[in-house]
Amino acid sequence: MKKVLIVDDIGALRKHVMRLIVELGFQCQFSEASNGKEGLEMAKKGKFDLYLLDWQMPEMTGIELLKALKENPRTRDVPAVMFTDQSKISNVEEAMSLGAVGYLSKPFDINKVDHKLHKYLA
Amino acid sequence: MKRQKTPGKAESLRSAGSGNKVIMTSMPLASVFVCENISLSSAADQQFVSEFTDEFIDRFHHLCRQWLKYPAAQINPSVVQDLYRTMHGLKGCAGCVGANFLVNLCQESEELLKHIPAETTQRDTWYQLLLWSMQQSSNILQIIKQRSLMQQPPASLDCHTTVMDASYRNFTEMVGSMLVQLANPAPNESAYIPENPVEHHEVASETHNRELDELLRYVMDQLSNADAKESSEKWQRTMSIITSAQTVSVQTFFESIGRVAEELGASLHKTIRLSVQDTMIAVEKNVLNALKIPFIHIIRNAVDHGLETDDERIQLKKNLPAALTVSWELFNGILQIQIQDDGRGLDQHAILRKSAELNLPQHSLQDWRQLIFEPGFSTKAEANTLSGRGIGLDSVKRIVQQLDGSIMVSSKSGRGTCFSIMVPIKSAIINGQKADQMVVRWLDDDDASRSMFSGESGQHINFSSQES
Repeated sequence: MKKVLIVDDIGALRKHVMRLIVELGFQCQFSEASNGKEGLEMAKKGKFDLYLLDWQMPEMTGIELLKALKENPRTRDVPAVMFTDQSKISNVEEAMSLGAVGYLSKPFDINKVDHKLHKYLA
Repeated sequence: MKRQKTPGKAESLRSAGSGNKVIMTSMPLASVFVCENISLSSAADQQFVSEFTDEFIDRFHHLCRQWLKYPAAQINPSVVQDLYRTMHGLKGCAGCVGANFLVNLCQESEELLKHIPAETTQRDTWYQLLLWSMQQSSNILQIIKQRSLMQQPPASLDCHTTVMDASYRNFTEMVGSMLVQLANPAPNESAYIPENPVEHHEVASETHNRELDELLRYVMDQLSNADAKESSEKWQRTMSIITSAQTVSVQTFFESIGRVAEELGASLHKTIRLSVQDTMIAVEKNVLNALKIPFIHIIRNAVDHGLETDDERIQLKKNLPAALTVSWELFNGILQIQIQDDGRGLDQHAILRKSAELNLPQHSLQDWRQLIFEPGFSTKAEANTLSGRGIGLDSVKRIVQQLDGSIMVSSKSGRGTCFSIMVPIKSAIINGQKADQMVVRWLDDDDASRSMFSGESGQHINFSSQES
């Protein structure tokens, strides 16, 4: 059972992603955080196999969170995948350079979700 | 009204953002309907729609309250930030279900939020615009939610959302224009004086929101004369146009006029429970205000004559308190309002007898109920012997018809009476209303004979077909 931390300020979107992952047949245990700060706390305390991080969040943005995660020895080796808007694909480069392993652009395409997360969840 | 070409929104925004000199040469005009297909491909998506609409409706509700806490001059930056994030988040969710018009609205709102000037005499306008964008977004969400609930899960069907007014499009165009103006206030000396609003729109499909157009013109003009000495009268005018362009909640409207019913009932030894549907629809103020008198009339009639006294009801073994229910729904631009009591109902024989006495034109047996709307009927009828529907119903009908609407009545002896008023609405805003809460609707005069009491009391029937 893989442990996934989803950090997104929109509850509906977190659930949406969880459903997609479940629909794809991955066996996961999810933890949710609704802002960057909370996400960081949870990441530090828990043990996860994958971080899914949204970009725009209160308290601490996704990119700030990603930086913080990569700076912390406890969390830096956990693969992080960012959610982006299509309009912000340019940001992807920044995220990748900071150590993100990939991104999922909204609207989520179930095939891409499968393709990009398979490696970490299978 | 003249139709002018508008520059592309995106282009305007880009120009504004880069500070290019762009002079607004034309006015954004109300466009026609905004139609959008929202594709729900699976049950999971449907659940997503229902969850995100709920979540954002809540957020906007909260944000509007926050927003209103502060006067325009001191918008709290954290609220602005909150709104920005909300718009951004909603954009993502709306994108996930293909609700592109909502995506656009969010996008424009974001742009606007990014550009709120620190110092401007037009701050009130920005403030109102953003408040409006929140309300509109929330209302679009209600529509999306309602439409998605009407689908049978987990079918993969398109759910069709029709937004009945160009308000949204208008808004986005206006934002674009404002940004352009901000980038470069055009030196325009000739002040535009808005004409008086015309009373009616000639063609319904040409959903020009006249007031909005006026507002747009006026705001633009103000902006273009940023250096000109500010005239307070002009500003009052601007604000009044903005205010009047806004809609009013049907629920609030009925709750205020509905109090009459309980008070009146108490004085007549009738305990009445008024229930007003709590789903939110906001419609044009003008229409609702014009219907105020008809509604008061119908409600008073129901209390006065339709409902029995407490003692009578006990004898008849009917429920206490008596129920007076106001419900509404909006469908394809028609607002239908039903005022229903569970009183004695219309007495067919008495009505037919009376009409014969009065030599009213003969009606077929099917539409005997229409007789109560006859002018002659109302003045002479002795209300009580006829279950009291006589007074002033002709004038009620006239008012409704002036609004291009129609009124129908249905009743079952001993079970109650239901008045149904339908009026076309240009600017309409609905809330998700579960399909199982939809009560019977009358579609046209032919259907008026179809009694809502045909089934068991309380039976709910879903939408039937459209007007034929």
